Amino acid sequence: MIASSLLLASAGLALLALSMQRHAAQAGWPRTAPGRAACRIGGWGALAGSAALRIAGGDWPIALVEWTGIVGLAAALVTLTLTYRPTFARTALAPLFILAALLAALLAAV
Amino acid sequence: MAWLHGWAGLALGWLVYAIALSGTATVFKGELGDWMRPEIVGRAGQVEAVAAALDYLAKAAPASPDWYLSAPNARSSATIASYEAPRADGGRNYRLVALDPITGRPDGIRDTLGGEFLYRFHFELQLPYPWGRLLASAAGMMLLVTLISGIVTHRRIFADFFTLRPGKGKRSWLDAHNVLGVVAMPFHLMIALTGVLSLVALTLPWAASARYGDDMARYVAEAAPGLVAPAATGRAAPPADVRMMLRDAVSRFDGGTIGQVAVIHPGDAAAVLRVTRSDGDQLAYGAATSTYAMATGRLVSFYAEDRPAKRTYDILYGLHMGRFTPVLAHWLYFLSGLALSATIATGLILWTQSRDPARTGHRFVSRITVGIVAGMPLAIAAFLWANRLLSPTLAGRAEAEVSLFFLVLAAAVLYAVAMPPRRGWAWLMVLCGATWLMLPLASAIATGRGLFAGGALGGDRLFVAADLLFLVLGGAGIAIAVVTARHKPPAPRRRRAAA
Amino acid sequence: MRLAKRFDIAARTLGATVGAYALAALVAYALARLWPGSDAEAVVTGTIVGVLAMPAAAIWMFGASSIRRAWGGLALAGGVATIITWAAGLPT
Repeated sequence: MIASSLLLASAGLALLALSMQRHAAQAGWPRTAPGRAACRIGGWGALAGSAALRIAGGDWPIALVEWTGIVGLAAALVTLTLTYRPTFARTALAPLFILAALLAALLAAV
Repeated sequence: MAWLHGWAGLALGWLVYAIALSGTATVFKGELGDWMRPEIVGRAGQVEAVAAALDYLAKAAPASPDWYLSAPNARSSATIASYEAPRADGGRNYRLVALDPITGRPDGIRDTLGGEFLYRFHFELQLPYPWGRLLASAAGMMLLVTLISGIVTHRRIFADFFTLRPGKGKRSWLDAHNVLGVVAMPFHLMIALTGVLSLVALTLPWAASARYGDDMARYVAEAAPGLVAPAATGRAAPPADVRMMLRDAVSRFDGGTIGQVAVIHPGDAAAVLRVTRSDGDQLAYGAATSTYAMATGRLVSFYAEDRPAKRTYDILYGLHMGRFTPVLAHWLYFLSGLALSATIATGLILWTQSRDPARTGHRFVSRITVGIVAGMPLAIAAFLWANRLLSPTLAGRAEAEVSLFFLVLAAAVLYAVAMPPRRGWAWLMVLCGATWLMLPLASAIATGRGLFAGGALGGDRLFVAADLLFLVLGGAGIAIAVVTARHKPPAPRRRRAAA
Repeated sequence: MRLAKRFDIAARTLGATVGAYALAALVAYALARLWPGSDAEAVVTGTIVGVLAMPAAAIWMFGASSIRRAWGGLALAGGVATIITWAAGLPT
């Protein structure tokens, strides 16, 4: 749950970054692809999903505190990615989502 | 508001940085204690360990008015005892001793404060009571005000959320300052506020005097009803079965474990045994306390906090302590603490870079900043080196470790004052990184444990993890030194507006 | 720095430190006197709110557009707390 929560938070923040002019240009986000509004909605959605995943892991007061830290970690990862591997922020989006979903499904099944 | 952010940040900035960094290390207080006492290898159940420790204290400290114990747990394998002992100069003070969980005795365990030193330094700053705590409170309030004014001043922090532009001198420092401040912003605000709140009984006693007047005894009794402390009778009485009392306490803890144990007036007929549940599985600081009459083993009181305002305070305090179990949470606290320390450090560096280097005052500030920012992590490393280098049997070695910490810090600041800031910074950071990088090797030679002593094969998880962390910290120190040394500032230094 | 500017900053700093602490103390005292619950709960509530008042006051002292507004706001908040404290009397 923690790993998928982190992956989903990273994907969400990457989407939010791509909804910003500077970072979209930085990452070479194509103009025809989902627009800035869609990125923003998807980003916030993914963040909410990452919170839900961590809270589903149990003990919600501690979960909320931990999720705050997870988002911070994800933000640091996205910032470093955008700085040093800008196009990776774009190409890694889909795999991040899929990996997070797979991990969550796996954990739910166990 | 920019004026407030810059000057409030500088006023106690060096102190807040030292507090933040020592607090960050304190996240792993228990683990650090184990690392600094490599002689302890045995493990024992909590009831057995506490009973053994109490047996030892009955012989070693019968005259102490009370004994306090931290039971061993998953993060700390020693039983940590504290009791009042006579000092060499005739006075008495509390002494901290680590006891072997199996034998209950301190024999053969090197004398060290372990994680306790950085924990105490974090809010007492090695100053006499109450000055250290007052200064730490002021620093916490200053941090809180600086953070809030920083959010107002750096208006673009949310627009520039993901923006880091390396290799651009001051621009890069500002980006780093903003990013580090923003990604862990909830942590920064929380830790500053809860830090101030944790010392509030000392700093803001006015609400207590509003309701209790001068009757502080009634206030203390009502604020913490679980801390039963009867008056001594002066008659001696042998203790009943301690193990039974401890087991009874655990059975009331709802699946929890033992956190702290206290004996008030040991040996007296009125002695009580207070067993407090570990708060390691909840947000709130402190948990249920079960108290027994030592002479009879009878339950005197069981108290679990359920008053809403006090619960709220306990949760805020617990958020500061960050002791709740998931190991990930400890690492997130550690990383966020590093981010806060780095936000303060970059802020201090920006302050000096934004001002005229020709002025003596500014030059002095920028050199001291270099000394403190690089000197603190160096001094912490020196503290750990001292633990490995000083002979385990040396008299007064716990104090010697602490002295070395302050000596190295002072030396770093003196060196930085004597050097041009860029050179001083580069060399101190290289030294700091190298000191951390070489610590695992020194530790392996001194103790035969850890990464370079086959610890990974033997499953010595704590020592291997510590070594890996030291290597990462050392590598980061070297990397910072190299990156900042490589950057060539534009030759004619223009004067720029204040950030 | 011009004299007027220096005076402005000194006055605001005084309000943001000594003034803010005085306000925190007054708020803590007044709220603890007013709080209907038990003594111990009233003390905790008053103290937490008092602590929150201090950074709020400090930020206000520097955020206010003029020094008169800054000190006026601080005095107003402190005055209200003082009146409550005075009306509630001393603890019995």
